[in-house]
Amino acid sequence: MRTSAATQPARESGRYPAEAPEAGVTLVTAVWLAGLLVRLALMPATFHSDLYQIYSRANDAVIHGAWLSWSGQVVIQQVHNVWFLVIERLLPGNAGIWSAYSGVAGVGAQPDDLERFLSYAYLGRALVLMKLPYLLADLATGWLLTRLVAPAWRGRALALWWLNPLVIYTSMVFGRHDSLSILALVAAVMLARRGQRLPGLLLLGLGGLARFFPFFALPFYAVAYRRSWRQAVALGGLAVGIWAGVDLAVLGLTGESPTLALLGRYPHIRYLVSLSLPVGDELLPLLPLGYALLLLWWLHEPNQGTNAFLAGGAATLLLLIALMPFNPQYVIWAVPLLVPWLVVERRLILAHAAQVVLYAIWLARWGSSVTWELFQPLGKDLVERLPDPQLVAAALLPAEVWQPVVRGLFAAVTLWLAWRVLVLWQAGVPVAGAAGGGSTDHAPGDEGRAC
Amino acid sequence: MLRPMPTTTRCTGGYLKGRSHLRPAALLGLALFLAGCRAPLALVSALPPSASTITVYTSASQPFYSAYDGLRGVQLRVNVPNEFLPGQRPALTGGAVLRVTYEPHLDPRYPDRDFYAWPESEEWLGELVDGRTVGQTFLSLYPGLNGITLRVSTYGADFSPGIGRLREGEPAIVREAPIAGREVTVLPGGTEVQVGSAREGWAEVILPDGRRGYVDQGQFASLPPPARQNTGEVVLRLYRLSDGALLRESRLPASALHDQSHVTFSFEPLPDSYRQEYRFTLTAVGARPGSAVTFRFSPSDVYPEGHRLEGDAEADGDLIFRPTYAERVLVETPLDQAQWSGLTGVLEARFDPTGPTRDCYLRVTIEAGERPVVVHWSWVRPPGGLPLSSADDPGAPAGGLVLNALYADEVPLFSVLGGLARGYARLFWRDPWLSAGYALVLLSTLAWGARRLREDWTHGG
Repeated sequence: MRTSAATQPARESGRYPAEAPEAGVTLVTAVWLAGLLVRLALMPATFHSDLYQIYSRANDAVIHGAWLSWSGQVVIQQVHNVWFLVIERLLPGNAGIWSAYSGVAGVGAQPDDLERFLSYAYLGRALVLMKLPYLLADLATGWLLTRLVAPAWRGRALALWWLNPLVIYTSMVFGRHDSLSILALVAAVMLARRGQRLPGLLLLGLGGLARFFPFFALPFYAVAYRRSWRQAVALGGLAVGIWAGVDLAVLGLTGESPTLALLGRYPHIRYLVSLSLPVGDELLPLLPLGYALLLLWWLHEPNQGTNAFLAGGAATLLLLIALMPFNPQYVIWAVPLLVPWLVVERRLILAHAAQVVLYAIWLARWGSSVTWELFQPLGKDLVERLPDPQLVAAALLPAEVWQPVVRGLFAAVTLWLAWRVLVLWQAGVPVAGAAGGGSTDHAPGDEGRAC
Repeated sequence: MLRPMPTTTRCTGGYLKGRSHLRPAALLGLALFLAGCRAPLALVSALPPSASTITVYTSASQPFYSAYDGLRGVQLRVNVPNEFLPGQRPALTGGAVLRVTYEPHLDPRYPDRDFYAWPESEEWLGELVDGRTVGQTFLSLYPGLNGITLRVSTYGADFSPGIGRLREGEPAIVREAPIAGREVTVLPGGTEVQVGSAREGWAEVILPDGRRGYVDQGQFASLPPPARQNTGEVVLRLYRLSDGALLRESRLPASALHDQSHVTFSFEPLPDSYRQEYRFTLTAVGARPGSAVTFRFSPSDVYPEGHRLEGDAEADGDLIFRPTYAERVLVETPLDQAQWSGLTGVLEARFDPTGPTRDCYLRVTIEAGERPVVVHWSWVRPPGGLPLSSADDPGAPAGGLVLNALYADEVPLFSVLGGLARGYARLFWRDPWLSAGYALVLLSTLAWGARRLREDWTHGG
């Protein structure tokens, strides 16, 4: 943890008090209750075909034994397969509601399949059970975040995660599994700061196998929680080893490498180099450039400890969201590592609020499919009578005007947040409280102490 | 006459005034607001990329499917001149006119979808003799219903297979299909040629080299005598489905009908026929077995919005039919008064909201004025997937004009929200275990919250 002279003014000014009265139980309880009630209300009411498809593939796995047929996101699929084993018996007569095409890349669930699912007699129950792991993941992440920050900031940190519209939208309205991977990321931090770096690394690796975002935080993890540079290299090697191990295991079982499947077939890889500057007849992709610059700069700074990881990780995730064409569900990744920084500076909360508003406007780009149509369980015909936000926006302003402006503003606010996170870290603002709600941070404070 | 339209959400209901706090008037205003919002909408979210341009000397048009009501504007990507010849009037389009009309005959939702197709899956009903009544219910998708087109067979009442002779001195074009089929060859006037069956008032000819085609029956000096002569009249009656009231009647003599052809029973237009349900019946007067016509039907259900009738009883399948409509111009406006956008390169013609335009096929036509108009086209056709057409160039590109339509559509927000609330309640009503589980979780959560708060207050938190 950085303890240079530069940290003193920040702490002594009182703007970022390290010691403050613990957040009131009333506030924390109210936040827990409000967030839970909102989620419970939304769980049976909304649905996206992504949610249906992953459980249809789970049905394929459980009923037809095709456990490893989906090689693209094999880890997260296995999680759903196991959960489906549990809930399958709670859904009477569910055999006919799943899609046989969900596991066929490029085809996916057909309208008839979705109609069958939406007319299922126990639709509400099915949706609640299907989203339950995401609710629990959100809940666990919220609790971990309250343990991550100083007691004074627990209420605020919890509210910023548990009541965050981006989190609620992604996990409960859209019904995406990203929160499971986010839980792995945050849990990895908690383990690392308690000195359990290897289990943390394992969790982070698993999170990265489930969704690619945590992979970008791996270098920061390996360096921030190193005891020595040799160990950092060893941690990096171990991460690569975990990946290679899983990849080879799946390759051996199915004859297909998830890595090559991802690189060769999935658009996500292209997203990483989509934003490019023309340099003569070449293209210079901005995200790899920005990420490499951030990593190199961060490596040059005193960079051990949880605050260093939170700064590097948060900035990286914000960079990804800002400089990559993203699907609506990706934006949740901007939140988890940002929360500890949001709690210490109100300006950041305002910027994050602007981020949320711009995101809500940006959703119109995808139209009804990510807004009204998510409420199809309440009445497909009714939802179709609502105006498509994409067409409303087009009637007000040409798409070539409003879309670049909104996207540009969103990227600007997101990059500004990343920059402020790094500034706060440089100023020595202690966002991570004492580990374990009382003991010290077991992450090595400096190279000398670590060695 | 162009009048500017507001581009933001407009509500037909009242709105809250002053700082009234939940007064009845404010509540009433809110209810009206929710009940009758008009939302601005566009046909497509962005104009498609231009492939190239066509030059309109007389007219060009583009049909499209209109999903919304309240058409209030059309955007067209055109090239406008930035300098004018001496004596030329400086105007955006030189007096061009934009017209929007209904295009019901391109609507693919009625059973008679392809004029030239006679699929084998369809059959003939059998003779429509005195005392037999057949019919069909249907939903009229346009205003101005003025006829019903059906497919009729006369059992060879045009002519029998044999040898026909063309008129002297009048060469006859042989086409692959009647009326507008591709040209196969030209037969010199006076030629004798083998004829097979009749279709759409044309005779199928069998050429000496074995090729087949169609020649208009009017070009024959003589044809083999018909296999039979049909007698009497065919009567079509149109009823309103809701109350069974007889609205229109149309009669055609059976002898005037052509074998294997389309026949339209016309009547006075019904101006308010938009989205109304009707029933039509066909009966024969003076038609005995052996001198009656028949109509075509599909034994399978090809028209979900209606059903076939045999007498008063519902029967399998549907008649092959298509309603016809009186032409109605929804909008006609000079393009010179449209607004030019230098940003998007489109001309936007605005007008008062017109309609009904929901769930309809419309056609936008550009008629050139004193100078040609250069209009952009794209390989991406507007919704409906139909190609553009040009009066100047029958071989115009198979793409679509680069256009967008703007609407001010009513949003029944209040009823939709009410319906969604009922849908939400239904999820729990249908599943008592879910309701019980939710009740348990909610009670436990609230009890936990209450205990935590009591502890906090007890400890002076």
